[in-house]
Amino acid sequence: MSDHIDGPRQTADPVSDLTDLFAFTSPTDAKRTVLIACVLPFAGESALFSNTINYGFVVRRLKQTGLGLQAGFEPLADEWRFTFQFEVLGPETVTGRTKQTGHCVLPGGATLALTVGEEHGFTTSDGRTRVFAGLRSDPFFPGWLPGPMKSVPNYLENDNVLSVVVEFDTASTLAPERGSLFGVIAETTPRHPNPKSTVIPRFDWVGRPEQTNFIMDQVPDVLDIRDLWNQETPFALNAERLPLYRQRLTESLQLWDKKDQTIEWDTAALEAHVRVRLNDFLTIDVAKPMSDKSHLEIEKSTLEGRPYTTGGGRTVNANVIDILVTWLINRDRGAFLQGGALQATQAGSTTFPYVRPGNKNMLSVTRSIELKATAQEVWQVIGGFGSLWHPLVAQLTLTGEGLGQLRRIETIDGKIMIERLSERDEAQKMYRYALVSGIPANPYNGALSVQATATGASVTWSASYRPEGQGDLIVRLIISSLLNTGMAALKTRFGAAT
Amino acid sequence: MNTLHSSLALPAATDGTLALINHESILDRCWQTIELHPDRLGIAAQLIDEEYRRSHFLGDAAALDRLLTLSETLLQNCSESGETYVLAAQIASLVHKFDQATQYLVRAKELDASAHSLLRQQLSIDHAIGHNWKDVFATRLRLSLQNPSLQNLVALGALYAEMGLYQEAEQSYLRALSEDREHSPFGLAWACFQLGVLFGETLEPAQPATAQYWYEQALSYMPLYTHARVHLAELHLDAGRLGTALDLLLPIQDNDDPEVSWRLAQLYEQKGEAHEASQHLARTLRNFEHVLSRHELAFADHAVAFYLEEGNNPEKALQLAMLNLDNRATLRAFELSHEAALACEQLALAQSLTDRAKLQWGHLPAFARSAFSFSTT
Repeated sequence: MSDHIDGPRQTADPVSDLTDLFAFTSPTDAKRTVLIACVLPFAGESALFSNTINYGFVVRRLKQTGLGLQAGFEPLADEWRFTFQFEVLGPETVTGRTKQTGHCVLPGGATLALTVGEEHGFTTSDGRTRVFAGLRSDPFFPGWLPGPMKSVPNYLENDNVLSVVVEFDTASTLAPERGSLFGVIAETTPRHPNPKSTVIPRFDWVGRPEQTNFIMDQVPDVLDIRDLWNQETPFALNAERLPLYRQRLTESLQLWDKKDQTIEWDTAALEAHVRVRLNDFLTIDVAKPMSDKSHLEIEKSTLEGRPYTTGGGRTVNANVIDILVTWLINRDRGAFLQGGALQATQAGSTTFPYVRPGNKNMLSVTRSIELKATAQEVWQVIGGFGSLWHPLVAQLTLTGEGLGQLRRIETIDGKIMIERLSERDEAQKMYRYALVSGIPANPYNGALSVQATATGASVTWSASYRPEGQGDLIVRLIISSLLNTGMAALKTRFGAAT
Repeated sequence: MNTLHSSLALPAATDGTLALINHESILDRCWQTIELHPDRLGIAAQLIDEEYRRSHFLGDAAALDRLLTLSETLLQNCSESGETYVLAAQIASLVHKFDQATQYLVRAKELDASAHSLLRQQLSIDHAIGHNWKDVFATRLRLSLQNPSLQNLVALGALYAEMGLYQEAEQSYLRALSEDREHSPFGLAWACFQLGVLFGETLEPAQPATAQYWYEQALSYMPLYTHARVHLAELHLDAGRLGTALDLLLPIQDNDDPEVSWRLAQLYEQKGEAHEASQHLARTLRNFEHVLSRHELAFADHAVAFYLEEGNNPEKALQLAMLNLDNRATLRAFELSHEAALACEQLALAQSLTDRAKLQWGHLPAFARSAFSFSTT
């Protein structure tokens, strides 16, 4: 999962767990570069940043040191840092909690104040740099389970993360005339390092996606070294530990190569690939075009012995998992390995801050009624997915059979709803369904059940949903009316239990 | 023992309020997600961590109910995955159903769960029930050397304390703090709390001032740490500082953790406010009965102490103590049973427990410092 939960330590402290890094040229202004980092997997709507962690980007100018089997990138001395720091919350007031504030320390040491969650972000007076921090929909969309290489739908669907975004004027910040190739990493470090600490003061860092989870953690029955890797100093790995990392990468890349039963990476090519991967940073060339397809193109071309043609980087909508696994398995010599996820829960935007607002929690409506009839009698009337018993339903047609069956409902006022049967338990007298279309909500899951009681039967009808395209109140009204009318009709038909 | 705390600069951590807000936001989000996608085992694993935090730090016994619901959901929806059974074993362990947890691990192994997760869970079970303690010790030591994380070092410290190696226990806890690998206040508060328990309850004689220091440090990381407040309040009660104890307990007085109301009952008793004391005692009884009705094994050992003291029901204490002993034959479980047997004047049983405890734990330094070393039975 890109860099989500990459090691035991990240599980213990998710607010320092970097989940993703993006670096690209702004799609609306080619003169500006955008860096985005995300933390806190599974963040809820109230999530906030730590007051004792630096959330930083580091950019280093790179030199390409060779092509083909000599492929490599050397970080040069030029370095730019953007470091976000956040404060504790102020006291609660009568109107609720104050918002979290913070600032971004820019290259050169100037600071730009910010408030978490301000959609338009904050810009320096000269307009060169703009920043944002706050809750966003998780932009990552993995569509493969790496072990069995099973294609699956996005398993981060509906998740949220906290994001920090910085957009800056490329020319005046990076001086690309001195070299336009850069390496970018994101890191989380202690804001107040313990001077007596004997360990390297870094919680997590991320360069290319999946260096830790999909690659380092895929060799079976070996020591998990992701925590160790995450404490390394980016651009300057510990020389004593390099052999350990080299061995792990080599073993893992060999396993990946064998997944399609053919060998595309011979020993020399694999060695070059490992060398490139040991220099773990997102590689971008700000003088060349970047797109959703250009991720890893710089590395791939360099390893194949040809000049790169794009700016590489990683856009928000780049399908990095499919790009990566295809490269690892068939070295782009076979079919593109399209996984089961085509985009994130919310696709990235073309405008600042490029990542979308957080997904809201599901809302729910539940109605129950006690009836003067046996559970079997009630279930016979309402238990069929195609049963026509609801007074607002004028016509109902079924398509298919069993789970996945669709019902097309035409209401008495001419509206059309389509729903899919997702679970049915005849013994328990219940079924669940999901809305396909017809109500301004996505997702929308319903469940109808009948239970025997001492005095007859109890019917429970519930819907959980997230409003889409209409306000919460309107959507709740639509759904409540549907459920209330249904319950009232059952009361008329069977009578209420006393 | 060397009280090194004065020279130790405690590591910075995320503000406790921010951490709690994030904990609640993740918990809420994960429950939402698991309802929609009951097959997402990563979310389930996160939920177990977060609900355990609620149970341990906030004294929320309902967290265990929610975890059992989660376990049922996972077993219904992902019964073909070995990792499901590892998670189910983890939940069963948290409610002290160790036999069931072991059965889940057998199934997990059959379904090819990862060796690493099987080892971790088996270790946790063996440690909790006092089984294979030499292997448990060797593994805990190895893990803390391989990866000196706060979790590994605190777990090793707890094992040292149970063995009676108090200096090593202290060193392990202090190392957990000084390694500065965490910025989560939960973990750091936990390490400080364990030091408080070591100096306040395990050591004989106790060092209340040092224990107070560590409980206060735990609360500086996590102000609403219920157990730290209760234990610190107890120290103040013992020293007659009733106002300070009350200040600690009032912010958590609505908590349903029976230890909170029990401590309040003791406090009002000491203040001479009999009516208030009896109200809190009645509430304690209700809360213990409630948690025992839901998770008898998980709360049996806590309840024994209550029924031996203000609960004034030694027979019930003995029944719970024996239940706990059958479930986990640790030295502490033997001690509780022995104390309850003496309270019930069942001297033959007490003698039998002494013999069994000596056979199983007599070689440990902790045995020589246990209640059995003073016992004539």
